[in-house]
Amino acid sequence: MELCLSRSLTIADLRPGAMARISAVDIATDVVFRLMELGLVPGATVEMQQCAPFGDPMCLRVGAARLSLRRREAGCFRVEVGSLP
Amino acid sequence: MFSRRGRVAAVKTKTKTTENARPIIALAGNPNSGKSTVFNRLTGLHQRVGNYPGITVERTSGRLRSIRASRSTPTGPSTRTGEPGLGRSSPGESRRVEGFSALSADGAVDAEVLDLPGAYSLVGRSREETLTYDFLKRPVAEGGPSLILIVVDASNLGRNLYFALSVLELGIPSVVVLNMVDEAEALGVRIDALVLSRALKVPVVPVVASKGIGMADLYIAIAENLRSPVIPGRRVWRLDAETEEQIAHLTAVASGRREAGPADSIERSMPADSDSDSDSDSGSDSNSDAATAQAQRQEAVASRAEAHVFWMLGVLATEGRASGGAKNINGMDGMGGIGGVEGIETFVARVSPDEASHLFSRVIEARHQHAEALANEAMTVRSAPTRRASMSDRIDTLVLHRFLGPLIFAAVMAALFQSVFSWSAPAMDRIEAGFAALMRVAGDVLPPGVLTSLLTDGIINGVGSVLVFVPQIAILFAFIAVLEDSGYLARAAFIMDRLMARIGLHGKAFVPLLSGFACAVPAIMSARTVENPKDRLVTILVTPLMSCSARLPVYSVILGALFATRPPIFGFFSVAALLMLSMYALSIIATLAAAALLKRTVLKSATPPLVLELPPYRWPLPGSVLRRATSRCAVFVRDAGTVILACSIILWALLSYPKLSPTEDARFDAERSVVEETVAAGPARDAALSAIENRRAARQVERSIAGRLGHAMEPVIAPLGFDWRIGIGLIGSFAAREVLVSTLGLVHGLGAQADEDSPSLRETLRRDPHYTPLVGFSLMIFFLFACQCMSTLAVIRRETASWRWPAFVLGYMTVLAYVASLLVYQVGRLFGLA
Repeated sequence: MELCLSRSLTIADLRPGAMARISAVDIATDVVFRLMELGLVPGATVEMQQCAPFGDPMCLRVGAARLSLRRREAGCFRVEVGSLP
Repeated sequence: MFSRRGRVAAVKTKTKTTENARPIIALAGNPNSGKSTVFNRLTGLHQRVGNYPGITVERTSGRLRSIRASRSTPTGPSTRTGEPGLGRSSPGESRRVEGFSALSADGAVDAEVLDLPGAYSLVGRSREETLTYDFLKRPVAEGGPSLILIVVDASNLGRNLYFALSVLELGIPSVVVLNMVDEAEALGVRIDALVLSRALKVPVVPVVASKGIGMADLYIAIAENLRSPVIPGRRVWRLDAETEEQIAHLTAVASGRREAGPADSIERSMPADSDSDSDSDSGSDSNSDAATAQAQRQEAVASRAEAHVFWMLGVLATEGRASGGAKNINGMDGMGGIGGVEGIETFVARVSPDEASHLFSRVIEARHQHAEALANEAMTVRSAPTRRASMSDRIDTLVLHRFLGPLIFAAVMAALFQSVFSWSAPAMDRIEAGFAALMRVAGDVLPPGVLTSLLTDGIINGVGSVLVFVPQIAILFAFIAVLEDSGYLARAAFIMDRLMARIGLHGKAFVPLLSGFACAVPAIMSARTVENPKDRLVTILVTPLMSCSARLPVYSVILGALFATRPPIFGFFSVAALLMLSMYALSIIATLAAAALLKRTVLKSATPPLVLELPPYRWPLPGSVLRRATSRCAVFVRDAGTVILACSIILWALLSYPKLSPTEDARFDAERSVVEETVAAGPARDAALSAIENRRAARQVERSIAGRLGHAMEPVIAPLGFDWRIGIGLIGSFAAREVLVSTLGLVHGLGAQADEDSPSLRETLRRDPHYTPLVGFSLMIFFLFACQCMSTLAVIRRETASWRWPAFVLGYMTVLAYVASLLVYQVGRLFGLA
């Protein structure tokens, strides 16, 4: 839906502890809609918390909730870092 | 609005049974919002667990119990807003208070409460996932809800309000239950229920369901809203002008607005309240009230039509993304769409998946923005979070730690396995011993004959073989309830996701698979922790391949008889121990391979999405843990128990009939009298007599239907190295695998009391030339893979609500076992091992 910006950051690029704001969502799979309904919408602030012990699913804080999602899906959420409230 | 008369008439025309005589209150909400706790508080012990027709989701309902204000809650209407932390609740407080005092004179409300599955969204791709929407929009006359209780987690208000808004958009009378206000307080947040209530235009009742605080208020709100329902107003959040226009257009299309307008087709789905002016029994409705009600009703109709468009856009968007087309949308709407099928078809033709994606994501964004704004408006941050609030994070730094995390997981799983495997043993032994004693007593007291045999060997034995599963089920489900309610299960799935995703299963499938080592029956039941229906089904279908504890006696009698005397390999490893280990290794490999194969063929679906919330850690409530364990046991005994009992009676008949011919019977009698005449009374004579009886029993089994089947089967099973005696064992052990041991004892004339440790059975097998180690190994392989267990099949039938899947499991496992044993025996023979 948005133009593909080259070299833009996604949630998958965040390091543990990093905060970012979602700027756009690439709707690649139906799972993305579920995540959007869980609050991963443009404008939402997320905090990357940690990766699972075996590396893949990652744990995010979105508002008061903590969600886990796989890297594949995390790559669909583009973020801006910096100038957060 | 809600006319008693109207409802009764509706029930009559629908000729539905007693279930519909009561208004239904549906509980909806996010997972982890405490919905089930609210449900337990509202219904107490009056709960029923059943299935929704056609799908495998469990339907938990119960009768609303009357809740009086207690010590922990303020009593009167004037003081009920006085609870610290509990704000005020209703949009029209003063009017409501009057209505409610009229109610308390008359007392209890008769209603049925239905606990819907937790959901984050009304949109779903399978019938299981879209169940909430399907049920909520159903007209009252067709068993739909008269009132929706939307449970909202106050400590995570914004996200929960998103779901609340999408439910309220359905235009059905609702009450918002603001749960866990204590946790919000601990986070330093106070929520003004009145602000929420004004904005949402429905009553908002703050509660702490886990402590029972505010439940009396909730009861009052329910009672009053059943009397005079508060229909939520139209959505107030707005999309951009262009999108709004498109939505309005689509709403018109979808509701099939032709000559009569949308109301015509939608009217049916409204609660049976069209004769609202006849609602004179309450005597309080004035004309202006009736006019307002009429206006409200039209609003609700319009709101619902629009909500249906949102839903269709969601389905079209997700389905389009998943399959490249809207294959399912018509099928999904077969559940009774608003506006009729015509509207839907036009809709699908008019909206491409891309457009639907675009519109639906706009809807999600706008609704979320509104939910967040509303949450911020209602919340006042009072203080910094208390220590308790950050506790979850601190626990997680340990539990999800790179090295400690997997260790803790292994420890928890070991504890789970140990409890199911060992803690249940004493109770199971006691049940088995009890039923054995009961069989003996009944056999002694009653005159010998067909009926006595049916009662003891058929019925009492069958009931015993049902109840013997209860301890394992109770323990496993209590354990799972603790894991789930505490929040650990979500962490376990989080940790295991990487590994489980490789075979295409959900992280939560680990628990049922592991439990399968103890017993497939509770393990299959526990597969319901896996939410995704297809993945749950795969888990159910492969769990019987895990080497359960009932296979142990089979292995151990074969190993003890045929392999114990072998010299150790390298002078160190005993052959028996290595074989035992290889059985477990093979079973794990087979299970994982079968899961991977099923995921790629019969139940082809993408690796399940991991959309998982890590809820804050909470103390599990003992009452809720207990209730879940007992309700699981009750479901098993009621639904699977009957099948198991019927099977054991059939097996009893197969093994007992036809009886020996009189001439053969007379021959054994003659042998008896010879012994009685020639041998003096004493141990020697008793031994000789019981040997005769055992031979008579062996002969009896051989002549029975099962015996004849065993003989008939011989050509089929001979390539596996099995003779007719093992054939009888295969039939008998269908009751349960360990029965093979006693059946073999019976066939070999050792009586039915032989167990895997009895030296006589081992000795007999060892000396029998037919039982070579190769035959023994082939038999072990067969028992490893074959589904020799009627209880497993019965419980699969219960959990999948069809005979198709148990038949599938029986088929694929038997074929697998046959082929594997065939290979073992024939290859072994080639190498001259026979």
